[in-house]
Amino acid sequence: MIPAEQTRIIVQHELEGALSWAERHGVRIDWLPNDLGLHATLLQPATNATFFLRGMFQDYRALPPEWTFTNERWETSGQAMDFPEGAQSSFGSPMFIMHNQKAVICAPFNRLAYSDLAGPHRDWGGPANWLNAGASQIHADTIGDMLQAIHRDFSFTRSRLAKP
Amino acid sequence: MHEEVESHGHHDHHEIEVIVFAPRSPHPKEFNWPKTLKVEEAAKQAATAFGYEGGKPGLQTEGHPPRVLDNNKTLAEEHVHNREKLELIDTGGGVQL
Repeated sequence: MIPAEQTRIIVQHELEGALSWAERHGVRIDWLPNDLGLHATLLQPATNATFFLRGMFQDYRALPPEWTFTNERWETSGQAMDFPEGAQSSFGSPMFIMHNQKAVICAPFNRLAYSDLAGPHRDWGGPANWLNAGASQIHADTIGDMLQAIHRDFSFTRSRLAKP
Repeated sequence: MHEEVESHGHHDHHEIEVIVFAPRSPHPKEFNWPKTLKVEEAAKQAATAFGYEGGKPGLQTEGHPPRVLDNNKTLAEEHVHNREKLELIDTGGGVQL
């Protein structure tokens, strides 16, 4: 739907802010332009364990990215052992959940949260409606804002969704 | 730093200068706010300046871990000091199924 080169231009522009955010928060970010993929390495404060957050940006921004935690080779998707266990915070319910035996980052800015891609939400009007979906929930519409949103809930976690 | 700001007359004693970062921008913005300003209002002003639309903006400190400021308190009540660096965040709730 969106030419890859156009997506690359959009992502490169948004990465300026995201990279500054990452530097402030000690998060390593790698952008893989040929794959339209972004890798972010997060350190869980409570355990010092490393988590591997991957975003795939095909058709961005017509559709939101596909965000998931993976194994250390950046290969898997939706495995509970790769995910942090959601923890309650002052912001309410955590965004890291299980749905149909798969772990999901449940937020309007994640394509994998929509029922079109086997996610839990069929009430958000489909992924093309992502900029207006879940209006009362957490809102993030640039890469830096998405990373901040995920990192916000991640910082409250203290374990993994399942033992490796 | 405090003296430098005062010598340039950027604000009176009832105001503080705050440096705000946003996840979408590589550059921070500076704001002069009354100490009595609610955090929520300051966050909204900063969000607008950075081009945010919608959401529930809030502010957090720079530390590790950062401390999220209470939107219902004033900057003074949250002990925000002159030239403090804050980060704009969204305080919207998690997703319930």
